[in-house]
Amino acid sequence: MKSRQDLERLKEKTLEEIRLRMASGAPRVVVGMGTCGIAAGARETLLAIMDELKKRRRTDVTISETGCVGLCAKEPLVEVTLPGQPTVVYGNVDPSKARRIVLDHLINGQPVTEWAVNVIPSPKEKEK
Amino acid sequence: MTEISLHLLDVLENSAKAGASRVRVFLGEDGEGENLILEVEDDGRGMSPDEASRALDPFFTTTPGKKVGLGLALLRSTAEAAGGSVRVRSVPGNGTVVTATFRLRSVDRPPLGDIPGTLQTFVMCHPGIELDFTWKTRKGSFHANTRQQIPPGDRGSLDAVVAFAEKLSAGMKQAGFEPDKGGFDVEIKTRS
Repeated sequence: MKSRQDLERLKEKTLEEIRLRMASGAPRVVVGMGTCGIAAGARETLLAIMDELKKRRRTDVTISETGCVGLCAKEPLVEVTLPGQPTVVYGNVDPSKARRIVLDHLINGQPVTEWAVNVIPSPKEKEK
Repeated sequence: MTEISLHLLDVLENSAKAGASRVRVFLGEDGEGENLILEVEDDGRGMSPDEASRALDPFFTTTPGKKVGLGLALLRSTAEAAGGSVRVRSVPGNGTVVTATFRLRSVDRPPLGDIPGTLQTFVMCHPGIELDFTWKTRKGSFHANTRQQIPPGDRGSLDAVVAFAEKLSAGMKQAGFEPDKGGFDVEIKTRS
């Protein structure tokens, strides 16, 4: 941190992060972008998700990434969370699988169970 | 990794993990047109001299709970196979500069790959980070900056990021960007 410009940039970055957190009520898709994910094709998977969402005018979905979660053999990994529902983690998601996950799960609300490698209960379910 | 753009994405993700708010990327040829240069500079937390000296070691990582850190090691492997090298300079609290060089005509130099798609994914996933990108070769040059080209309210918006990437792709194409040509293709073209 050296100058006023650095402070301005930090402020802007923090505001963006707050804005994204505020939007956490929106559907959320997270793609594994560690070295293992990138080498396995996560970029193409993410581009396919973005393309499919844009085609279907679903610009309310929060798109994010995460690092290696230790399940490298199943990369590219994609997590999908709909508000109030469990998070479904999909494994070995190539672009064509990604397009179907967008359509079936994100848009029609039906998880593609045969590709799921893990299901994480929603915070409300954990409280029960 | 089959493309240089995948290495770029990996290094960019390192910058994001280091808490950078601004990342500068230079991709292009050196003055003589002998080498391809990829440079990523961030203003993240930086590394101590000891960490920086071990950054290219595949068995060194700063991530808790992990025993390997392959990103920069793979970049070094690709660069060295193509007659080049990787240099890491870092100042704690100030940021890190990773510079990779590849002999442009080395038959082992991979193609650049989908650079616009790489930057699109990075900009989409890290809306708070300013990305400044320069492409420069003898055929032409191109510059893009997310802070200048995406209005603050639109950062993180799918439409705005895709529009940014489309401009980037068109601009780079006009400036002589050839995603599919590796060193082998350049060498063959030069001979024939």
